[in-house]
Amino acid sequence: MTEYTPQLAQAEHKKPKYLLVFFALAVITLVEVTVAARMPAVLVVLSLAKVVLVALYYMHLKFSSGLFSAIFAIPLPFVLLIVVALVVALAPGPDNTAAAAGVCSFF
Amino acid sequence: MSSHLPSVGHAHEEIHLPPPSWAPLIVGFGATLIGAGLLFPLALPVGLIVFLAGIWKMGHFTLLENPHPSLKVDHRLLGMWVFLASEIMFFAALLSTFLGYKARAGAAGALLNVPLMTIGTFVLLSSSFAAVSALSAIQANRMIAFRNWLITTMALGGLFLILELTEWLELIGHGITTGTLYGSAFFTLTGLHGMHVLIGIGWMVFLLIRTLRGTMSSGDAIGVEIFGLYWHFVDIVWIVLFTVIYLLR
Repeated sequence: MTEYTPQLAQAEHKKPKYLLVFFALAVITLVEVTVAARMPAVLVVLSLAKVVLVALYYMHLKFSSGLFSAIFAIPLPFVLLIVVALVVALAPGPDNTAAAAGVCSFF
Repeated sequence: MSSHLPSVGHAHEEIHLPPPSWAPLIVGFGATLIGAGLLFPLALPVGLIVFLAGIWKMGHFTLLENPHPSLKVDHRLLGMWVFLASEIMFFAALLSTFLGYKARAGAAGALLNVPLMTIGTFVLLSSSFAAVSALSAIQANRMIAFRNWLITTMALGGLFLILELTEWLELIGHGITTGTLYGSAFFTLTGLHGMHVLIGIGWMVFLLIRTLRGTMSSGDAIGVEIFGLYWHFVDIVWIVLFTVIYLLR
């Protein structure tokens, strides 16, 4: 039967306080829907903070091999590319396909 | 069980392979039928049944140890992380399309039920906590606690889907259907996320049945860890969707 991997064993030794992470996530969500509801920049930062908390502690990236973090990070520049290109291409107004192609070539 | 094939060249080297099985072919055939279901609706339920039967059979494969000790990371976790990286691109494309269409769709976003899906967000965050607690429990071989946390995670996932369905019905009541620009982008995005939640619940049903049969132990913690990665990723996707769809209106 499968034994623990070194990564799991390491994670077990440094097991984070999951409940504390949950409360942090809950408080950030409360702030998002109340105080920060009309502040787009703050909302983006808070949302990213929640993503990082879940990835680091619940998905154990903080305690795992850096390879997993790298695999998780590799798509992110492409995400930025596809978001900007598609938002430009689909923006209201005249045909923006050329502008979207320009965004892609810039990247 | 792994078969030990004779090695070529090195007397003491063994090659570990799963036993021969039809299951991957059954899964592939089922997936093809599901795809055909887009054109021929009757093929969809048949495809789903065949697909799930194959998955059920594959779920009983023994998880193999690292085939190469030189590989510093667990190959099963590595596989899941690579899959999740591809999922990031999948959702990025859907999210971008939603953002693009939202700009053209006018004030349809004002009809969203933010308080309802705020509750949904808390429910999904709670389910992530339950999932990670289930992993802790099985690692410590506390099987009853593992079963209870697993059921809790399932219940919270199911509750999230009910809340999402309620939201959809409300929007349809307001005339936001898949026939509208906003509706098509919204339902595609949230629908595919909901489908991921549903698949996660199906995965947990499988784990629960194995637990109730007594065939799960701390030795299977790696399988739960892999499931956990999937479930937390689904949570991460919702964190982003909630902000983009519901808060940045």
